[in-house]
Amino acid sequence: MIMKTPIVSNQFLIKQLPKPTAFINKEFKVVLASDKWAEDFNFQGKDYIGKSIYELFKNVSNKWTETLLACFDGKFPESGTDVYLDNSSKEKWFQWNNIPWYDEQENIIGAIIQTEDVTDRVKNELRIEKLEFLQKATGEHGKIGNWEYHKQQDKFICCGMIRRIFEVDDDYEIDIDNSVNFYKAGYSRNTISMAIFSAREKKTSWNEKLQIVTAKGNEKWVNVSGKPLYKSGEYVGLIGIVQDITDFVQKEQKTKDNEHLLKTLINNLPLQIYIKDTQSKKLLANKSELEFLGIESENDIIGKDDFDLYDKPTAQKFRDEDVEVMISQNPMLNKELTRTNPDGSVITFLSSKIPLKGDNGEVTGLVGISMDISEQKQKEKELKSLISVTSSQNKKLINFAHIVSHNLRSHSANFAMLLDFLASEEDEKEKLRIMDMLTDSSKNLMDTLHNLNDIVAINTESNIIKKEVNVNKKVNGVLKKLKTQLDRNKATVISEISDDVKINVVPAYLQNILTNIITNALKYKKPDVDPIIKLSLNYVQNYTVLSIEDNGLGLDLKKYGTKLFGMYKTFHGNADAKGLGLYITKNQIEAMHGKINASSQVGIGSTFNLYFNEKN
Amino acid sequence: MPAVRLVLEVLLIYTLMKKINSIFIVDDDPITVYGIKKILNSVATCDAIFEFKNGQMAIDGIKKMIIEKSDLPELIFLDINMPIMDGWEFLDAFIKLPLKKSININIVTSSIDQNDKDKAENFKSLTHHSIIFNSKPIRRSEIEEITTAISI
Repeated sequence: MIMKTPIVSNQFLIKQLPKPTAFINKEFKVVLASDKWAEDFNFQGKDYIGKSIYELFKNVSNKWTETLLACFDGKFPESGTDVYLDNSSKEKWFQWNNIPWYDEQENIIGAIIQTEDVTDRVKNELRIEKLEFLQKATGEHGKIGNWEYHKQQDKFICCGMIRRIFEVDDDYEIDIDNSVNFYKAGYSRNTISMAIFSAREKKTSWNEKLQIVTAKGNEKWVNVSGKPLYKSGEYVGLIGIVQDITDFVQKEQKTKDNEHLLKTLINNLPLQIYIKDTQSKKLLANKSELEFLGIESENDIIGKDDFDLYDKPTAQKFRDEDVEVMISQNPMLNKELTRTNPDGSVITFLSSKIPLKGDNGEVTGLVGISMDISEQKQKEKELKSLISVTSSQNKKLINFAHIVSHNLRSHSANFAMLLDFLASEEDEKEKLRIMDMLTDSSKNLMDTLHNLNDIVAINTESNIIKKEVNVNKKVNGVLKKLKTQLDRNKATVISEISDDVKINVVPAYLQNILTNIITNALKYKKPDVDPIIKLSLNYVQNYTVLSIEDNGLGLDLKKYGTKLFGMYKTFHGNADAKGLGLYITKNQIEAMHGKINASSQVGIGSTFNLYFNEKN
Repeated sequence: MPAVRLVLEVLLIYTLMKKINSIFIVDDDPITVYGIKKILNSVATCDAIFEFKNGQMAIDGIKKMIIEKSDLPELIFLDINMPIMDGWEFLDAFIKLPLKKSININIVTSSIDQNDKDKAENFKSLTHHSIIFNSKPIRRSEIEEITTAISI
C-alpha cells in the first residue's frame, strides 16, 4: 500500500530541511532557504529572501564565489570553509558545499548551498596545531622527546628528539623492550623496568631522574615520566616523555662541586669568614667564626646581627664599621682590634671588611675576614723583650768592659809612674813615701778586682735560686747588723710593712740591697738633721714594690739620673763613696728579674723603689 | 850673706827653670796629683798649684778668680772620670766662661778610648783654649814640653 503523499509546496519542503540549505539564483540572490540555515546565520525575522549573499555575508571569500560560479557552469566543486561574525561578534566558522540547481528542464538556474557550523572543529584544529607547535618547540628547547606505545598493534612511536637523545639512526627501530636497554645497567635500568611494569599492572605513573648510555656510548642524564593509557578502563598502552638533562645535571654537579670546594676551603682556612647583609645580619659563617663565637651550628647564627652576639658598645662599633664600608664601598683592611675575654685574656685580631656588590653595582652586604694574631703578638712581645734584654745586656757588657779596662789601666798607669819615680829617687824619705803609695795602689787594685768579681758573679749566675722570705724579718736582720752605724747617726727607721708579707728573692741579694740603700741613706744624710728612713710596700702589676724613703741630701736626678746606678759614679764627694753600691744593687735586683728606680729632690730626700718580680 | 845668696838662687832658678804663675790640677786620684806635682817641681817653677777633687770644685774656683780679678791659671791638668762633675762636664762649663786669655788644658786620663779622643777633638774645635789629650801614665817629657811651650 502506497502512502498517500500530502501535497505541499516546494517552498514549504525546503523550509523544513534538517540541514542548513539555501538556494540562490545566478545573481547570488537567495531564492529559498531552510529555517535551519536562517537560524545558523541569525537571519530569522529578517528579510533575507531575495537578498544577495554578498549583502548577507560581509566577507565572501573568493573561493566561495569561484565555486558558486563553477556550479552555474554545471560543475560540482570542492567544499570550503569561511568565517563570519555572529551577533555577539564572535568568530564562527562554517563549511559550505555547493551544487548546481537544475529546473525541471535540466537547466541550471542557480546553486544549492549547504552549510555546516564547523566552529568547534576549526577551533580544535587550531588548538591542536598550537599544541603541536608548543610541544615541538618545548621539545626542541628543553630537549624533551615523547613516545607512545599502543598495546593492540604492539607499536612503539617516538619523536625525533628521542632518537637524538638516544643517539640512534633514523632507521633504528625503537620498541618498548630495546628502549629499556638504553638505561644504564643497575639502578637506572631496574627503575625504568619496574616503572613500566608497575604502570601496566597497577596503573601507576612515573617520574624519575635516570642515566642512559646512548647508542654511541655516551652517558647522559635524563628525566623520564610516563603513564599508562586506558580506554574504557582497559589498558591500551603507555605514553611518556624523555628529557635530556645532562647539561643541567652537569651544571648542577659543577655548582655543587664548587660549593663543596668553597665550603671546604673556607671552613679549613685559619681565618674567620662571614658574610653579612646590608642590615649586618649574618648570611654565612665559617667553622673558625663559629668556633670563635662558641656557636655549634651555622643555623644558630644565620640571620643574627652583632647585637645578638656581642655586648652593645662592641656591636655598635662593628655596625658602624659595616655601615662605613657599605656606604663608602671601600674595603676596610687589616684593622687591628683587641677583645678581652671573660677570663681576662686579650685577643688581638686583624679584621677586614670588603663590600659585596650585586650585578647592578649596588652593595648587597659585606664579606668579613678576621685573623686571630694573639699568638704572633705574644711572640712579637717576647721577641721585643728578648731583644731588649739582649741589647741591655750587651750595653752592660760593653759598659763593664769599658769600666774594667779603664780601672785597670788607671791602676797600672799609677804603678808605672810610681816605679819610674822610685828608680830615679835618691831621697830615702821620698822613696818610702812612694813605696807606701805603691802598696796603697796595689791594695786598691785588689779591691777593684774583688768588686768586679762580685759583679761578674751576679751577672753570670744563670739559675739563681729564689726563696720565699718574710720582708720584715729580713729588714730587721739588716737593721740589727747596722745597729752601731744607725745609732751613731741617730737614725730612726720606720717600717710600714705588715709582718706577714713574703716575697721571693735570693736572700743574700736582698740583704745586700737593703744594707746598701740604708747605708746610703746614712752616708748622704743632711749634716744637721737626724736621718729618718721609712720603708713601705705596695703592689704594681706583677711586682711587689718595696720603697725606702729618706730625708737626706737628695740628688738632682735631672743631672745625675742616668748615672745614678752606673759603676764608679759618686755624686756627693764623700770620701767613702766608691760608686759601686748602687751598681751592684741594680745588678742584683735585675738578676732576680726585678727593677729599681729612684725619685729624689735636693734638700728633701730620696726614695728608692725596689720592684720584686712575683712571677719569675 | 844670705840675701845675696837668695838673689843668686832666684836668678839661677829663673835661668834654668820655666816660670809659670799658676796651675790647676783637677783629679780625684791622690797618686796622680802627687805625680804631676812631682814632675812639675822638677821642670818648672810655679807660684801656685791649686788642687781640685772634681770638676765642680775647679769651676767654682775659676769663677771665684774671675770675680776677684786674680790671675787665671795658665795650665790645667784635667782628669776625665771624677765624681760630681767629670772632666767633660767641666769642659762644657769652662768653654762657656767669658775668658779672653787662652788657657792650656791638658787632659790626663787612663782612657785610651777613641771616643774620648774624639770628644777632646770636638771640644778643641769649639774653643780658643788649647786642649791636649794625654793618656796615663804621665811622663816627665810630656810635662816639660807643655811647660816650655807656655813659658816662652
